Amino acid sequence: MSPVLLIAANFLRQRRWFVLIYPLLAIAFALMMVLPENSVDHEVLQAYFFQLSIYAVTIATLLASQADFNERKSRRVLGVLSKGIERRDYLAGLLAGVFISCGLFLAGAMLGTLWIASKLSLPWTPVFEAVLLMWLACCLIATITTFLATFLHPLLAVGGTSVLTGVGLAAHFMKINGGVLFPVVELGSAAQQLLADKGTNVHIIPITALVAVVEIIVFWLLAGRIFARRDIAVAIE
Amino acid sequence: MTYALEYEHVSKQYGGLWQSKPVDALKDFNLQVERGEIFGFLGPNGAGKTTAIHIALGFVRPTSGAGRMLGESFGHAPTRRRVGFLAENPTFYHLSARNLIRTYGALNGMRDPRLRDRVCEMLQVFDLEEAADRSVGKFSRGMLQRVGLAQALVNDPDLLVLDEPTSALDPVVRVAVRELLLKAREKGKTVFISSHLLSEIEMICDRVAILHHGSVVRLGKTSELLESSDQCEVVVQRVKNEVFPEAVARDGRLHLLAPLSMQRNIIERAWAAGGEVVSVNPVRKSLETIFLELAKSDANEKNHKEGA
Repeated sequence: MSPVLLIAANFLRQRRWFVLIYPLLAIAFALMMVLPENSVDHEVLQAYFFQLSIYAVTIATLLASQADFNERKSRRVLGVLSKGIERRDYLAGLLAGVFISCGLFLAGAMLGTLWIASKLSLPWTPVFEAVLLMWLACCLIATITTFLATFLHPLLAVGGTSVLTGVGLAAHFMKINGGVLFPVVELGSAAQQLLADKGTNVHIIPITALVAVVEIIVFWLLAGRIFARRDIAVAIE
Repeated sequence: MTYALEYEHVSKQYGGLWQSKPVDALKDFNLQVERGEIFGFLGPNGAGKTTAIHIALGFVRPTSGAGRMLGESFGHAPTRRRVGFLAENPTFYHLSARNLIRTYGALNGMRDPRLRDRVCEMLQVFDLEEAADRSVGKFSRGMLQRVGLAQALVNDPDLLVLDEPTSALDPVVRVAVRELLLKAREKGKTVFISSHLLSEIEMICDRVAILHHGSVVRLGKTSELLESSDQCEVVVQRVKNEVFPEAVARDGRLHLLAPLSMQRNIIERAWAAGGEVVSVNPVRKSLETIFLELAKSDANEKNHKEGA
């Protein structure tokens, strides 16, 4: 296994209970929303997906903010970085762990959404696309939080990410095209619209997704550069 | 000639913008560790030993100065594949001992079947075979240190950097580790050990550096440092105690500890009193003595400053 995957695997192993519980929680939410009602409609589907999208983004932000901090605090980072690993690869390993955690949660959300969609006799393809877009949004927000956490306390990194998300949200509601520059909200919104079946402009999604992928790479490289200049052996609180 | 480790005028100051008094962990630190030697790195707590090691491994960046490890600049990741490192109070992922050693080997780019063979060898050397499938999270400190040594050695490194490697080990494993380090030297490997266990250092190190307040205050071959005492022991017999009141009587003989400059005077006094000189030997200083002298001079300096 490559060093990046090994680091990701250990990240997941350390949080194995959360990682196992996340998808089960997503399915449990679906049961809670559908079972009390005899009939489900589009609104239930959207409310369910919206709620889980918020949770997914929150999980991504919290996991990413703590990932590197916990490793440094426990000094496990010394054992890992004493091997022939670049700092950016180390961050890539941690990020891969966060991405997989979010992916597992969204897999649970996808099962729940598919179940509700099947009750509404809706096609499954928009569900897959919506989940994929949400996963991309989670990956982007996790990368930005990791970038901020390389030079800020985790709480401030969460704060910084929230501010950036707020800016994206404002741009979205004010219908400013610049929203695509920080596409977390745009991706989330596109995912919602896919499920709402309101005729989303499908040409916009590939561009937004491409911007997100480019930003993930850029923020990871920037985080790697900053992290390479940090003293990792000093006590942190 | 390239050194295994080379520090050139390295300084490290800790303390951020908000801390009023920065701390100098290393001050114009210079050191060369030759290839194929076992090098002991000593110093009281806070002397800067761990900082020097962390700079070499790239965990910490020096405030000024530079250095090389195995011919490459400090922090060069591919070079670290040829290095084994054990941190003081190591913490690891909570895996089984076997998987942990395997993981750390794989992080260094090792692959099966070599990795599998080396993991088995390390488990055997450090007597971890029975505990191989238990989580290291449940290990005692001594066992954790053994696992730490195993993961440091799994890649058969050219340079082994050990920060307090034997402090928690029982005597049997300590002897095994000592033999392992001596064998590594025979194979041309370099070992750099920071330790408080001075007896261990005395036994295996070719050269020793003593660090104090971030600078090297003593450096040399272990044997030379130990013989650098300016005292000698004179043993005389058939002399009354009153002639040498400061002497210690043992087995009918008087044992005198005196400066080398007084050696002749003591011998003449013994002869004049009708006695015999049994032996005159230079006193070998132990590293402990050197270490304590440093600590004492430090305390005196502090008192002097406080008094002023």
